[in-house]
Parts: sequence; structure tokens; C-alpha cells
Amino acid sequence: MNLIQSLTAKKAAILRKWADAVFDTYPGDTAAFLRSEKDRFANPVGYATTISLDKILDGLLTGSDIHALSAYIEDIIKIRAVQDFSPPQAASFPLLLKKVIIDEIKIAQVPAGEWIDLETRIDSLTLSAFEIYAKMQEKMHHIRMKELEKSEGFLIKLMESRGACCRDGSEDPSDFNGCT
Amino acid sequence: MADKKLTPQEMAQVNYLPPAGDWMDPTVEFKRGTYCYAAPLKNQEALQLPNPRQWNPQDKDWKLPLDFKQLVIGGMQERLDKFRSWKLFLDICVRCGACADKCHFFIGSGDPKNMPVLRAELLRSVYRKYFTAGGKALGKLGGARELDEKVIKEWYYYFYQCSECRRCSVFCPYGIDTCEITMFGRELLNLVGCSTEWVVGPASSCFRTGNHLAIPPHALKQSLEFAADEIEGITGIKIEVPINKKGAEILFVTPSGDFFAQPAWFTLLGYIMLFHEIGLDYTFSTYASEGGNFGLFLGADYAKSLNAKIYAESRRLGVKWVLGGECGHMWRVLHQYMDTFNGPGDFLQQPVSPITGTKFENARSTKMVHICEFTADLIYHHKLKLDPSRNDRWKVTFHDSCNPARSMGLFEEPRYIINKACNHFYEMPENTIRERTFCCGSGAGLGPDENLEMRLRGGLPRASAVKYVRDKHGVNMLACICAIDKASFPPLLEYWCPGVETAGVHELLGNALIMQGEKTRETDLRGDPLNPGAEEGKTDV
Repeated sequence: MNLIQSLTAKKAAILRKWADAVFDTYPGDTAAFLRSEKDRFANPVGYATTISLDKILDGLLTGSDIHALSAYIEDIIKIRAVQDFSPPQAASFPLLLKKVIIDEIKIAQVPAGEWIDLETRIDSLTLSAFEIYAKMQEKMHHIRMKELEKSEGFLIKLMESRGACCRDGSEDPSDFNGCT
Repeated sequence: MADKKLTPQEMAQVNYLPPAGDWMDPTVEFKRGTYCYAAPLKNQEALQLPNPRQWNPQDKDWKLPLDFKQLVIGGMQERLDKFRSWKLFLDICVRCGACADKCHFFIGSGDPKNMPVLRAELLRSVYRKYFTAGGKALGKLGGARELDEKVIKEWYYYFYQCSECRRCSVFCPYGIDTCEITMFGRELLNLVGCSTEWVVGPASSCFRTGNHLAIPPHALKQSLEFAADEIEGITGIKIEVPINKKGAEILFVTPSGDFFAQPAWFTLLGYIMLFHEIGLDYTFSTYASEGGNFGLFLGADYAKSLNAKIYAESRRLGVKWVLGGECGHMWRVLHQYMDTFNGPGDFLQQPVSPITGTKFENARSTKMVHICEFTADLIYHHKLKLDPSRNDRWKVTFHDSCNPARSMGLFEEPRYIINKACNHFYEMPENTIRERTFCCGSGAGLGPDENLEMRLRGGLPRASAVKYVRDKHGVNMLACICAIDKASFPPLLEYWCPGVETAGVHELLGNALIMQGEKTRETDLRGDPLNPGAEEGKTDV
């Protein structure tokens, strides 16, 4: 039985321990809640984390392309990017899988090549998580800018309709005094 | 999100576990994106707030008054004497934990201090220290904490992470209203000059101009004229919007976001079209030009002052009763506080719909009716012609805005209107709607851009339910009846579940409303083309 086959046989236990390790990055009371509450709407963080880790582990064990797993990585990172984590803490959740695997199998008996292959794929997941983290930060900046543009755009439209100013600034915006 | 620049060596040391901490340790870190800016000096002075100064929550020294401890303890004593409810809420909690996992900020942030019970403990622990024998004698062992500057900072951080939505209170077996704990916490913070710009700024504008957006009368008039122009462009019908009309039967008061912010603006168009169509004798007011009340997020006295203009303007204009627009916290004030703040409104008449003759028994005391109650009654009595197919491009779900839902019990009327104005309506899961609705995460003054990450945390539970109906039914429109919802959901949904837009219920009604003498509509109120064939199949309701 090669490494992937051994891990596939123990998938349920590995998934549970990986999810536990991710939940343990939260304070104790929160981790207990994330683990125990099963209603997806009462516990969206726990739900999204468990479901996505399951899909990622599946993909990892069945040889899926890492890019094909990015939607699931995003479901987790999207949450961690706005929570109280530093960027490495937010994005490093795939690395937690390494320790779980080492604890679960007799690593000394695994051929080095097989372990390096799997480790490289986990590292790629982590890099992908960093990329998505950066994307989420950019998205938040974009959202802030869009909100600003939306409110300003509406004011300009309103002022133009009242003849108070033109986009080229040829009329005096102060005619619409107060709308700032 | 992190402010601190890390060295490569520090970056390589990732601690996967959270720091071990005791909840009694009040230390907090003000990271960008997770707190609201302090009110600038000019707005503190405008409201004559205590200890006016220029400061920033990230400052080490908050320049608190030297006697800040006495001020806060004195403030607690004063409120304990004045409000029996507060004393009760501080004393009776048995920390059963029923509320612990019900707060959207706890669910979304994972921060245990956002469990309502623990957030309240931040204040209760100080109460114990100075007001209870057990706390005085046992100190920390008795769950008591000294009040110091760190505690003030912690309160500022966490009492501005509560949107006063009252979801937790639904689950409390003792009926503790944790929203009121937050309200009092903020009042105590105000005593030492710690308040946020996003609350103080609009409140000070409201004292000056009558509304949060600082719209002076002539600008409000121009905004309403612009709305009439937009309606004429869409329907071909020219409408004169009544403003400050003495002797009108009804005064219409709505949040000022409706006058200047999208998508709330489209709701305003819906109101004006509706009132014109039924020939309502009503008026807008440039003085009572704000239904919302940011004073509520600052303290009861400010809320009372800002609310006073509604009855004052009703009296000045000589109206019979008051109709209120789509807003959240506005209705908490109107429904629960206005009567005792500034009432009784006994110079007004019990509201009666001039179109259907329905007596609004529920508004007998305040004399103020919610627009959804009014419109649902019109539809129920077949007074409106609606073409729901004009909303066919929308698959709609409804977000129960916290205050109309939990403070008024207004559940069915908005749904009734939506179901008559739209063909495609889908409910979100039962444990996320009606009295158990999840807050948008931006209410009670938490809505500024600088607080975006925190708002996204708070909005996650609501967004996850929206995402569910988006994925299951193809929902692409979230209807709601709150101006803060309308402002906060577009960015929130763009982050958590793109492809879902936000609308007021009366925008959807305005789309569907068949008006006498209107031209064939080519666009909806947003100026977007109607579905092909939408003009066919008009039905009387």
C-alpha cells in the first residue's frame, strides 16, 4: 500500500484531525463551538471549514490539480482574511495537515519520493491560499473604492440634473450648496 | 489587516494557536479595519460632548479626564437609580450561555468577547467591583474587575462591535436585553469623551439640519424634484412632490438615506409614485427630514432630542397623523420610545387610511404608521393595480431588518407586498428570518468604511443564508426595509455572495405599480430595461 492509499484508508480520521487543528487556531470556547454546532446557518464558519477541508483532502488524495481546488481554499480564506488572524496565520491552514499525516502514519516507512510529492502538493495549497488571501485584501479595497464612487457618482448625477454643475466643471457646484 | 510590519524571521514563526488569555484581561489591539474612528473635535463640540479633544483609538494616551473613574462609576450609579431594567439585567444573568452563540459578531469573528454574555460581563465585572458586596470582598474571584484605562479601551472596542440588533435577547430565558447593556456601555463611554465619528457626525448634522446627511432645505427640495424628474422619465407622469405643506392630512417621514443614497433612492421613487397614484394628501418636511435617529446609538437623551422634531413638525404643519418610511432603528425609537420621549401625540388623530378606511389600532398611541402596514392594507383592499412581471428579472428573498422584526413584530406585511409585486419569492432558512433574523452587521453606528473587516465578520451569518438561496433558487435580489441595510448589503454581498443586489420593498412595488396615464414602461426604477414581454399580462390585484 503506497502513501496515498494508506491516507485514503484513513481519510475520515485525518479529516477530523485536520479540521480540529484548524478549529484550534481559534480561542478555546470558539473552537468548541465550531466543532459542536452542526447547523450550517448557526455555524457558517464551522460548516464552510469542514466542507471545504473535505473537498480539498479529496482532491489531494485523488491527484486533482491544485487550481481545481482553489474555490474550496477560497471558501476558507475568505473567512479567515477578515478575522483576527495575521496573514500567515490565515493562509497557513494547509500546513497543519502535514503534522496530522505524520501523526497518523508511520512516516519512517514511507518512501521519500512519495512523501516529497505529497508535501510539495500541500505546500502548493499553502501558496494558493496566500494568493487568495491577497486577492481578498484587494477585493476589500475595491469594495471601499466602489462605495465611494457610487455615492459620489449619484451626487454628480443629481447636481447635473439640477444644472448645478457639469462633469467638466464649467458651472459652479456651489449652486448646490450643502450636498457634500 | 495587520498593521505591524514583520521581519522575515518573524514571518517564518507562525504560531498556529491563539494566545492563551483570560477574559478578564482587558488588553485589546486596534487593528485597521476593525474599529470605528473617533469623533473629530468639531463634532464633539457641536454636540457639547464631555471631554472634547482630538484623539484616535490607536493612540497610546486617550487623554481621558483625570477623574474618568469617578465619572464612569458615578454614571453607573445614576443609571442604576434611574433604570430598574438595567439593574435587573446586571444582576440576574446566570451565565447559562443561551445567548453565547447567537450573536452574528461572535459567529462571524470567533472572538469569545463577542458572545453577548461575555460582552455584558465586561461591564458587569466593573459593576460587581464597585456595587456588590461579593465583588468588593472577593475581587477577581467574584468576577469583579477594577476600572482602568484599559477597560475603557476594551469597552470602546467591544461596545462598538454590537449592532444592538437584539437577536441574543430572543434566546435569553430571563429576557435580558443585551442591546440595552450596550446602550448603557456607550453612554458611560460618552461621559469620558469616547464616541465614534460615524455616530456623532450624523447626530450633530441632524441637530443642525434635521437629518443625518446634513441636507439643507433647498437641497432636499432639489433632491425631491430630481426624483420627480426620474419618475417622469420612467412613467411619463409629472408629479409635484409636496414639501412643508400646511394642512396636509399626513406627514411622511423617512430616513435621509432615501434622499441621496443608492439603492435607497429607488425606494423613494416607489413611495412618491404610490402616493401620487392613490391621491394621498401628504407632505414631506425639510425639518422632520430624518426618520432615523443616530442619537439612539449615543444615549437616550440625544435620541429624545432628535426625535422631538417629528411631533413638533406634525403640530406645526397641522397634519392628522404620521406615516413612516422603510427604516430599521427609526422604528425602534418610534414604536418603543417616542410615546414616552416626546408624547403623547394627543394633538394628532388615530391613523385611518383615507383610501381604505382602515383604522390602524396598533398606532392609536404614537399616531405613526409603518409604510408596509399602509401599503399592505391598500393591496389587501384591491386599491392598487400591480404587474408583478415587471420584477421578473428578480428572484427575491427578504431580509427581516432587525428592529422592525424584533422591536415591532413586522413580519408579514413586507412579505405580502413582495408576493403581490413579484412573481419569484424565496424564503431564507427558518432560523435566519423573522424574529431570529441575522443582522447586517452594520447597524447601531458600525457602518463606516474604516470598519469594513468587522462589518464583514458580523455580516457573515446573514450572507451565508443569502448564499444558500442564491445557490438553491437563483436568488439575485435581497429585499429589506432598512436604510442601513440598503447601504451595507451591497458591499457585504459583493464580498460574501456576489450576484445578489439589494432593494427596498417599495422599489419593487414601484416597479410593479400600474399608474393611471403612464406610458409603456421601458425600464425599471433603476433605469435598466424591463424584461421582454413584461408589459403583457397585467393583472388587477
